Amino acid sequence: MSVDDYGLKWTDGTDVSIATLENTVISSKYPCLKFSNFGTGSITYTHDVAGNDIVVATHNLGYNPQYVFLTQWFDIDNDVKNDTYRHAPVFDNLLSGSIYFTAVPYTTTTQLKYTVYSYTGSGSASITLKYIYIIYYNPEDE
Amino acid sequence: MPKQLNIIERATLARRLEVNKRRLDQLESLLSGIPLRTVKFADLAVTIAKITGLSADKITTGTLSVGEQILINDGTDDRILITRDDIRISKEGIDVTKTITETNKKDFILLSLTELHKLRYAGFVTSGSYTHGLGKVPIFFNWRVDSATSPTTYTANKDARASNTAITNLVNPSYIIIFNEGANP
Repeated sequence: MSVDDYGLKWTDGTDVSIATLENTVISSKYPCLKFSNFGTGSITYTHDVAGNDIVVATHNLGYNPQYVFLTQWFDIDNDVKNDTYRHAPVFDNLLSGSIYFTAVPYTTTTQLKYTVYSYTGSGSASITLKYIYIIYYNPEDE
Repeated sequence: MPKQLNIIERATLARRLEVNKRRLDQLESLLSGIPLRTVKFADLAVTIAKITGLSADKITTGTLSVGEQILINDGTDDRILITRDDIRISKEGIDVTKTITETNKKDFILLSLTELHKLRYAGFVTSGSYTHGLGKVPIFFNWRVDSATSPTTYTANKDARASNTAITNLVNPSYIIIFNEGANP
């Protein structure tokens, strides 16, 4: 027996002895994209005020990891917060470009951060946007 | 004077002695560790079994139950651990029974945890929305496609929007992947 003879293979109902990779739900032979951090949070910012930059999570992985970030957003066209979640970064602006909303997550080698800025021209309202994030281990860096 | 055995009685006694001797020899072999050929037990309780080969190909009905755990070794390290609570797989070279910490958890797959994506739905959508009914905002991906039957291009759609009941603002047609993982922030 070689090392290849050991392992765990879980199929979608196909005979495990003949199942191809496409029929396999999980296999110890192939690495999975695993979560390092998974969480939720919110950012509160004020229209027309710079410096809305927060730390979402500290991962301390020592490299810039891949991530998914879903966030609520500000609908510039209708001048109202939208409670649905979109993939960030989110950019929304009027055609002129002078009225705009930007929501940009980014990573460092130790943190996932999030910065939001908007100029609505309708006053300095305080807005809170909720978000969901997942940080993944990068198999190539582990 | 005791009565002498006749020839028939002597032969019967000799056969019984021979049978008993074979039984004693078997018991001595069992106790001294010499492998027996085939032994059948109606019911067997073993405290510690050291089995070098086990054929279970005749188990076609019923349930194979294990009270504590199954540990599979790859010849060097214990790599797969199946317990009553979890199935745990370790990376090659890593002992699967090690205590898992925030630092080394990357070396393990734990099926009991939601650390892997589980697919909720993947397929083409030809309307502007898809109702997932998860009761939470799921992680999802959406691509604009040029055909729902024989697509040649997939373009990420960043305008799709998720709520805890549906994904909306989809382009038509598009391809969507929805995972069970998500949250209600």
